[in-house]
Order: sequence, then C-alpha cells, then structure tokens
Amino acid sequence: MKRGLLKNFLALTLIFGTISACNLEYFQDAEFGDFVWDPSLAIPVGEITYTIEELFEELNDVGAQVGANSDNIVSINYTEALQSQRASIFLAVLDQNFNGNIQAGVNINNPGVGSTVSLNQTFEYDIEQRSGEEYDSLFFTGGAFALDFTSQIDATVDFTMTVRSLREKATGNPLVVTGTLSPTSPNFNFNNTLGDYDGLFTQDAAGNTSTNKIVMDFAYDITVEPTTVINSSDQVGFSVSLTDAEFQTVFGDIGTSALDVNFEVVNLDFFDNFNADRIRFAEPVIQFDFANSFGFPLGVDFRDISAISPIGEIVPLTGAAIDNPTIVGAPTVDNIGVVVNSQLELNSTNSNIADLLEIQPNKMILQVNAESNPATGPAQYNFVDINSILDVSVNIELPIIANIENLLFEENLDFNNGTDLEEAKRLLLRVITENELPLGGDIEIEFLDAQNNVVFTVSERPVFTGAPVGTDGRTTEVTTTTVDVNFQDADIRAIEGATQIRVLARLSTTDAQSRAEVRFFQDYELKVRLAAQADVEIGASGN
Amino acid sequence: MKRKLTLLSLAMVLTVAASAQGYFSFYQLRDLVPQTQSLQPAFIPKNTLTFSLPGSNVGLALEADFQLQDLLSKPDNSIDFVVDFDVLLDATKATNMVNLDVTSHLMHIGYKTKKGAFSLFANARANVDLMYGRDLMEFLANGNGGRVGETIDFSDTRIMANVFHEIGLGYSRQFLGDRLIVGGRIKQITGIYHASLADGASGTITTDANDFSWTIGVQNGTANTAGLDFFFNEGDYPDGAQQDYITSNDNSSFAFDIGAKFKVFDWLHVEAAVNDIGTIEWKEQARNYNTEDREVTFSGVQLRGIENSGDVFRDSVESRFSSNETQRAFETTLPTRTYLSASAFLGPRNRFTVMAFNRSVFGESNFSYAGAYNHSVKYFTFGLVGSVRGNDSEFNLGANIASDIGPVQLYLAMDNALVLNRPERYSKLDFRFGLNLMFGYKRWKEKSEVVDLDEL
Repeated sequence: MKRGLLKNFLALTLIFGTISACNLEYFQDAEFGDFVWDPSLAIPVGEITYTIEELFEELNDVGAQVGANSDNIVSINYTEALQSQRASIFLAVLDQNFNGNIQAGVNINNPGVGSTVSLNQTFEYDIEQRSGEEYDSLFFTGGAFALDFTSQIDATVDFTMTVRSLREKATGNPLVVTGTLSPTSPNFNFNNTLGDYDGLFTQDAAGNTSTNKIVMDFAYDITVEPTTVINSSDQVGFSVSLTDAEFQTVFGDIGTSALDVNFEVVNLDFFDNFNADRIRFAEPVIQFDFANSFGFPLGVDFRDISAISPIGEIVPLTGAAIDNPTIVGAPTVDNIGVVVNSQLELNSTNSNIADLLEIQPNKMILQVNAESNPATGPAQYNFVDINSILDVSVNIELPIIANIENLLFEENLDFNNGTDLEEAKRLLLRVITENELPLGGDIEIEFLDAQNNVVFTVSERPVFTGAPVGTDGRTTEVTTTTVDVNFQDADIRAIEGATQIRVLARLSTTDAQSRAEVRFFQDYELKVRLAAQADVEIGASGN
Repeated sequence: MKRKLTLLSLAMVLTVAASAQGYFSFYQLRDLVPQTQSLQPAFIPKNTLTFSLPGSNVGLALEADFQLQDLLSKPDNSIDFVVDFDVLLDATKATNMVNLDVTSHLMHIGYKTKKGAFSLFANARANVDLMYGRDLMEFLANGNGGRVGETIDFSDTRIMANVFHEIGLGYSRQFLGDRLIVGGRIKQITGIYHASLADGASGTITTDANDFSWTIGVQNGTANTAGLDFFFNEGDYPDGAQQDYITSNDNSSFAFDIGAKFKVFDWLHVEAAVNDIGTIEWKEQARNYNTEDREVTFSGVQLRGIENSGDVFRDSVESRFSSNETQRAFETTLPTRTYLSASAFLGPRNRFTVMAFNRSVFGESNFSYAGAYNHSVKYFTFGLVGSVRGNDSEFNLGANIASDIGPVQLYLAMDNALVLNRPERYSKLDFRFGLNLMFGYKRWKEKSEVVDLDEL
C-alpha cells in the first residue's frame, strides 16, 4: 500500500511538474516587428509598339511631318512658304501727266463787229510704262484725275474736253469736261476720282486699234467782241494728270520683269535631330509649289540653290534642273480669279539634291529666279487683277529609302520612379525587341540627377537588330533580341534620386557599311517588351 | 513489467509517422467524463445521472505543421518577432495543414441504464482547416523569381471554415454480456457561418522563361460563404436579423456519430469510433463568388501613356477573368474523425492505450498515433499521453486529470502539456476542461474483474 501511494505521488508530481514547468523566455521583452517579405518577383512589365512614324515623330516638333507616300514608304515632309507676291506690290501704275495747248490760229484786232471763232483738236498720248508694259485697259478703283486749263486769249472761250480713253463707269460714256475761260477768269480746274472711270487704251486718235494710248478731243468757241484783240499765237494750255492710280484689273502686256521670289534661307531644323556618320536619302524630292493667279506665265530657274551644313560646308545644286528654266502656268483672261498650281520638282534624276541632303544641312539657300512672260514661255494675253497672287512654297519630301550609319539620337525623359525602387535590392531588367525594321540600334542610358549630373550609366549595348532585307525591298523576318540589364543594390541606390533619363541611341540600317539603301515601309513595327525580375524587401510598414 | 515495456515501445513506434492529432488526452478520460462521448459514442458513463453546467465545458485545439517560432521568428541578435516567410518556407513540407477546432459543450445530460446509457447534448463548434502545398509558401516567400520557366501549382491549397451548433441524442448499449458496447448519436446540425473554396478549385501560375509573362489558370474558382454577408453588408440587415439567423435558419441537416467497444480479453479492449458523419447543406445566406474557368496569359500592359502602373496592372489581370456572385445553395461534408484504440488494463487502476486517429478533411486521410498511460487513485484519475504529429513528427507529451470528488467533477486534458515550456518549439496548443455534476458515480471497473498486477 505504501508502495502504491509513493507511485501515485510520483506520478502526480510528474504530471503537475510537467504542466507547471513554464519557460516563456522567448517572449520576454519581445515586441512584434515587421513582416519580412523578400521575394524575387519576375513580372512582365508590358510592351510598347512603335511604328516608323512614331519613331520619327519627334521631327514633327521641328516642323517636319512624318507620313507615308503613295508607295507606302514612310516619308519625312518639310514644307515652308517661301514667298507671296501680291498684285499691288507687283504692279504699280505710274503717274501720268500730259500737257498740251491749242493756239487761236487767227489774228483779230478790233473787228468792230462781234463773231465766234470755233476750233477742234485731238490729242493722243502714250501711257508712260515700265519696260515692256502696254496696257489695253485698266479698271480704276481709285486715284486722282486732274484737268487744268489756262487761257492767254483775251476773249471768252467756251470749251469741251472729251477724254475718249476714260469711260464713266456709270454710263459708259467718255469723260467730257466743259467750261468757260475769260480774260477775267482765265483758269479752269477739274478734279475727280479715277475710281469713277475705266481706262480703254486700245485706239489711237484716228480710231485705229492700238494699245497703251490715251486720246482726248478738245473743242472750244472764242467769242469775238468788236474791240477784241487776239494774236494767232494766243493759246489755251491744259494739263491732264492721273496720279496714285488704284486698279481692279489691268489688261494688256505686262512685259518681262522679275518677281521677288529670288532669295530665301530655309532653316531645316529637323536635321538637327540627326547626327550620323552617314545618312543618305536615295530618293529625296524638293518640290516647289506655285499657286499663280496672275494672268501671265512665269519662268523659273534654280540657278542658285545650295545646302549649308552646320559646319559650313556648302554644296550647290547641279544638274539638268538648273539648265532649263521651268515655266509656271497662269490663268487665261477668261479665268480671272482662278489659281493655277504648278509644281516644279528637283529629284535625284534631274539634280544632285541627294548630295545636298547628305551633308545633313541645317540651312538651304533657295535663290529662285522668276520673271514674267519668259521668252521660252507660251504667248499669253496678260492681266493683273488686284487679287492676283503668286504663292510659292517648298516641300522637301524625304522618303526613307536611306542608308544610315551610326545615326545618333538623344532624348531626355522624365524619371519619377525612384521611390518605387526603394524596396528593390536587385533588379534584372529584360528588354525584348521584335524588330521588323531594317534598322538596328545600340542604346546607352544615363540617369541624371536634378543638377544634370550623371549618377548611373547603363553602358551602350545592342538592343535591337536590323531585320534582313529581301529582294523586293521588304524585310524578310522579324529579328528578336533579348538584352538583360542587371542593377545591383548599389546601382539601384544610385538611381533612386535620378530625375531624368537620357537615352542615347546609335542607329544603323541593315548592312549599312556596304552603303545599302533600305526602305522603311509604313507597316513596319518595332515591338519592345519589358520584363523585370526584382529582388525586393518589403517590411510591414512598407520600408 | 515486460508487457508494459512492450506496449510502451509499440506506442512510441506508432507515433513516428504521426501527422495529425486530436484530443488523445481527453479521450483517455473515457467513461469518467461524459463529454468524451463526442469522441466515442460507445462510452457509457459510470454515473447514473450526469449534468454539465452550461458553458462550463470548453475545448480548443490549434495546430499547424510549423512551430510557433517558425511563424514568429527572431532574426539573429534581435529580441523582437518578425513574420519571415523564408523561415516559414523552411518549415514547409509538400503538404501542410493548419487546423483550429473550438468546441463549447453547451449542455449535456446523461442517464445510465442497466445495459447502456442515454444522452442529450448541445454543442457549439467551430473549425477552420487550411491545407497548402509548398508551392504556395514558396511563392509567398520567394515570389516566382526562382520558378521562372516553371509552373507554380496552388491546386492543393484548400480552406474550409465552419461554425455550427449541434443538438442531439445519444444511446449506447451492451451486447454479449458486457463484451460489446455499441453506441450512436444522432444530431441536428445547424450551420451558421461558412467559408470555403469549392471542391476542385485550383490555380496555377506559369512564368515564361523568356519574357516572364504569367499564364494563370483557374479551374472551379468558386469561393462559397454563408452568413458572412451579415459582416460584409451589415447595413443591409435590420437589427436582430443576425441573432435570429444564428438561432434558427435553413442550414440544417443531420449527422451521426457511431462507435463500438469490444472486450477481446478482460485485460484487452479495442475500440473504434467514427464521428461527424454527415453534411451541411447551406441554403440560407449562401453566397458563391465565382470566377470562370480560364487560362489566360498576362504579358504586361500597354506602356504607352501609362500613369498609375499599379492600378493598370491589377485592372489588366482582373479584366481577363469574369466573375460573378450567386446565391446557390451548396453542400459541405463535415470533417469526419475516426478513432481506433486498444487498451490493456494492468490491474484496475492502470491502463495502457495505443491509439490511431484520423481527421478526414479535404478528402485527405492523415492518421496519427499516440500511446497513453492512465492511473486512478482514490479521488483522481490521471494519465500521460505521448504523441507525435505534424510533418516534422513533433513529439507532444500530454496529460489529463479528472476528479471524482463528490458530485462535482472537474477535468482537464491536454495533448501538449509542455506547451508552456518554450511554447515556441511547438506547433500545437490544445486543452479541454470542464465541470460536471455527477450522481451515482462508480469506478470504471470493479476491482475483482481484472488482475491487479501491482498486487501480485
């Protein structure tokens, strides 16, 4: 029995000793800290697809437009208005002044009886013009017409002046001025606006067809008193002036004169975005667009066109295009107000324009000579309407059929993801490119701080490879390139404070060194996929 | 003595492969504590009449396949805890279980007859089961960076949580004299709260080796809940609605517990019990959050013009799956618990037991084993239980004790009694205690029925 009690005691002691044994040292003074989560996450970040137009869209900011031509080849187009020639500047009607006199032609000395002496005389004048101009008609809209008479005859003179060449717009009748001159009032003045008249200069004094003539008929009656004394040399003088003439339309022959389209410096800013060892466009075109509503043809030549590179190299235009002046058409007299558009093209077949553009000019001098009614132009009846205009613009079209070697491209991008990297301890950035373009590129990335100091550089490396080109000019396959960029902890810490990324690209077309020219079709795409594997360490409080 | 050593050795060998455990120690209180009928319906209390005081019998078991120090780890030279998924991963095996079981015996009335016993009982129970594979923890700890070019399979991740109450009747009866006892309990189960992934729910993530794109596959992607809408959309319900729902609702069904004891020899008894045989059909407050079966590849987002990348990423993934919410009724199977035991009586006061236990959840069977020794003295019955559980075959030493002082019975049972001694080294916390009123108490065996080896 005692043995049993001892056993029970020992058993109970064991049980309660076991249960009551307490060691909570692990929890003593301990507080709950952070979650420690440091996974390595491999994620597909995303993709972005660039078309050719998008790759060159930066050029849009400097005036160039990127589109596609009729062959579906991407083309850079640069358009600039060169000159606008207006009729009021091109044609100024000269002031006209005509003088004449009519003598009495008889001697009268106290005849004792009264009588009347009547006289008639017609005057014809040539309108003063610049070289080669001859007007047939001129529809005035303004200006001044003045007629002054002065009589030396000591008698009353009643006169009628008929200006055949000026027709009143209201009636269509010639301008007729009548008046009386007397010894006590020997002067007579007539003034009116030219806008009330149309000028018709197509007949001479004899009524024959002519041009550029102004004809006036002068008739007067001298009232002879019994005591009148008149010498045959006594005369009535007159002067006619047409000044400050403004017109609606001028018909006739404008003659041959230069138009002010002669000198222009075009800034080709888009070439500032190119900096290449070589970039040669195979089929560039410079097209001049003339919009002409003057009623006469123009002769244009490109004798003085040249390109100037940023370092001052000058390449002049040569070739057939400059040897044969080109004609800009004009509307006929039946189509006043119509604008005739003419295009004159400089291309690789008629000029060395490709050589001009190969120096990547930032300026181009366009010294275009233009003249009215060129000798080699068509014979055409001329007119100038006050609304006639000659607009000249130039369009530089660069289809990207090119050989590019080491084209350097630089772009700065805002970088505001530094704080997102705080939890990253290692980062593998994988860039996967699928490239249809016959263009490969090496990329260098610089991370810049707010003071533009480079804080980290991802060294230059090939990121996408130019696709091979087939016999039809199209690329034959998509080239895929995978590039891994590893950022260690120190690298990530360095770029945390970056505010900008400078992307430096070095681009070359497929087989560039052999000077092969490749075509960039509009449907080509460069797909860039980004993936990342990041070792991150995330605490409960996010730090 | 030789037989004692043999039995103890057998018990230790059996525990080596243990992977789950359930109230081994409480089970050893058997006929003394009427609430053990919830583990073995064939137990016939020794008292004529038994009452439990409402709310005075509670059990809790929380166990996982990792130790507490794996969850709350301490970095070197630190006294503070951190939750470090890398540490958890180190503790993760191919299949891992986390289980929480809370039982409150609300009421128990037992009456013993000449050949058996009746019982009337009501319990409130809650259990949460989480099963996950190494892939899930590896993904949480390491992300997918180490599995590029491979598929991470979450298909073995399952979760089920049930809160329910049960009211039932039990009856056990002797046959073949007293050599065979068969018991059974029928109980009405009323489900209150539930959350689970549907059977067959699976998900995979395959990371492409080249571009890291994710191919995400979802099959049977349905999450079922019941009763949780009271919390998600509290404002949609009038006051008292949830209380009414808890008291009575349509989520009602019947379940069974069955068990048997057989006296092979006077000194050797074998027992078997299967509990919680049944299902719950969740009809009321059922919600189904469905994601269509799909396999999609997420290759990132369009980077052009992107601003809030986080939102764009999430929206991009979510937009590839269509989901909806329905209110279809669904049925869940109760986790069935099975006990097998063999007890050797070395006299009227000493008993050695070897046990096997299985809790079948998610269609998985995980037997665990234990060896126990119990001894009774005049006013107490007490015992020790040795068990091994979990992927790492964690050894737990449990203890139990029940009093038989007058009409008041107090009992306490723990499978892991050492948990307070450096609890960070354990993966299980459990206890079961209660207070009963006992009338007509007798010792579990008449002294004359077995041989008392101690007195030989």
